[in-house]
Amino acid sequence: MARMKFLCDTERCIECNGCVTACKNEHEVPWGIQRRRVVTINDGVVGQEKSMSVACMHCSDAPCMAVCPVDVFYRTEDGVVLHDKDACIGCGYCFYACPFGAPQFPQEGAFGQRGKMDKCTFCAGGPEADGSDAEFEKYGRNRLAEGKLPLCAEMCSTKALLGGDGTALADIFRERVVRRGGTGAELIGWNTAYGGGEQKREQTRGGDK
Amino acid sequence: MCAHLIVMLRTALLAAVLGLGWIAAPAVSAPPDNNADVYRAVREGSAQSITFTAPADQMLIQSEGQTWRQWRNGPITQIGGWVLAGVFIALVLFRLIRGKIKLEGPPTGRLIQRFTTVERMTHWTVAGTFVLLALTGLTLLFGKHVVIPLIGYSAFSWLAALAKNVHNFIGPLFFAATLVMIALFVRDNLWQSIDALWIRKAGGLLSGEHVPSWRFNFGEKTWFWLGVTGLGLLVGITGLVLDFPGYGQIRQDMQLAHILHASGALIFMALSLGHIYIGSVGMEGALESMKTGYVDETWAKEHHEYWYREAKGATGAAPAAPTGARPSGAH
Amino acid sequence: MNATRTVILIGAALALAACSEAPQVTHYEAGTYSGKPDTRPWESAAYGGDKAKWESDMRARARKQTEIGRMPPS
Repeated sequence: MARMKFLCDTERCIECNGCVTACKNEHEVPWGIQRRRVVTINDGVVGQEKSMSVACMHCSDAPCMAVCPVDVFYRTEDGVVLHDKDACIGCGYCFYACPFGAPQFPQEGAFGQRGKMDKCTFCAGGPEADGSDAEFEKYGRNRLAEGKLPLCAEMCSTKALLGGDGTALADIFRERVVRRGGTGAELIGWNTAYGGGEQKREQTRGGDK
Repeated sequence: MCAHLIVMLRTALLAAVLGLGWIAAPAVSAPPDNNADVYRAVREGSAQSITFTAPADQMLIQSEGQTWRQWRNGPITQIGGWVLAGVFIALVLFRLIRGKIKLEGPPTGRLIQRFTTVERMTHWTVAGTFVLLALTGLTLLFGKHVVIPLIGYSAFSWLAALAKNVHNFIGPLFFAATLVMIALFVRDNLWQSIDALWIRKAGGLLSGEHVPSWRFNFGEKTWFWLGVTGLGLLVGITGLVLDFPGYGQIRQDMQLAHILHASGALIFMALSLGHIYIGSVGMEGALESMKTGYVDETWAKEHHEYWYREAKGATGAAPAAPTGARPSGAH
Repeated sequence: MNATRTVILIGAALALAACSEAPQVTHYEAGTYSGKPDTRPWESAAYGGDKAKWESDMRARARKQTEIGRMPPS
């Protein structure tokens, strides 16, 4: 059973913003919405500048899901956190709770009220029929249904950003760390996203199916 | 030595996190660009630079969100619900034990003006918006647990969207009306020495005794200061922070504002139940005073004796104005 | 006075009820989403419900993200 995860290797990310551009282009994300962004640490400090690409990490114990007052979030069988835009009321609670700043809101109506939330879908669309126009308009392309992984990860030029089954990613990353040495401390956000909740859920469920 | 230990610990941590088991000790020793301190800073939530100006603030991982979630889904939802239910049950019990507070003497038919038109309009604006805000706010907090099982997901989403918009648009009106209300009533809600007697006798609420007071007794003053002024301002100001997100407040500000807003509002609602009870079904003549602005002389004499005497002294035409006078000076 | 005592006792009981156990750690389990159902990715036209094929394709694509196997051993 696949468990979809993202992994960004900060030792490799060169802040090219290719993932950001690819995401915007692939899903035709509206103006002002950033499903993915690149954050740079110590920008300009020689030798200490590190970058990381962040989007929704599809957390195991997703805070957005826990706080949503209308329960628009659901988790697919392969661990992707998706939401139903038709039911979203734009309250912004998921934005308060998310550790990664993934939920985005278009400003609409009077006084810049929040519109319906938009976030990374792991290129898995939404509840609309797979590959339909309605799905594309609301959530973007459904690459998972086409047998492809998220575009941001697949096109990453340095392979800093990886996406796919968590076990496969962990294997790739471990191979790298063993080769280049180091401690694996460059793996930021992984514990926040897939820490306690995953283990807890799997314990109560009696192991992953 | 120490650094080596830390490296070992890190490796173990990584292995544990990835569920990989122990990784063989790295062939290369610590790499030249080991940025352990940098990564620690990220985990502690310091600000980083960001190439694109996204609506999100400049932080990679904000752990405050988790704290906010635990507060909101934990104590605020659970204790808040219990407090509201508890106050409601307490009022029902009070009604059963004490019954309706009736006039003791026969009504005289002569009326005294207790509230001016402006005061009544302000009161009902605050009251109406308060009830709307309370209902819509409760929908957003408890609706997922209470209403979705009743009316289903799609209908509730429609209801919640309406609730959110009503809440956001009515909120500023409530705040403005509250400010007017505080200005109108603050003078008669200042401390007067007779209030000590009210406190000593607990307002006669349980004994049924009438404690003399000026225009407002200490119970009403408590509601004014704690409810209308304290919680009204708290809920109003935090509400504005949440309502207009585009003025430079970051997520952490809004999380704090939300916690204060939600817990303040729940206490406000619990207190308001007491106010609504005593102002409507709980006491004969109370609702009339805010509906028409006039009370019967018997009511005034029984519930606000000093105010009544003063109003009679001032020919009873104008609304009472105790002007902060002390009972010893006036009588 | 009896009424006072009753009210105090009931009030205390209610006040204590509010202190009942509130979980300090919220953990999401199965989710309560009850909206539109979503088809699973392997139920698309491309796979027609062949879950095993979809999963093996996914694994193969995930492995394509590493260059380590493709480089000549150094």
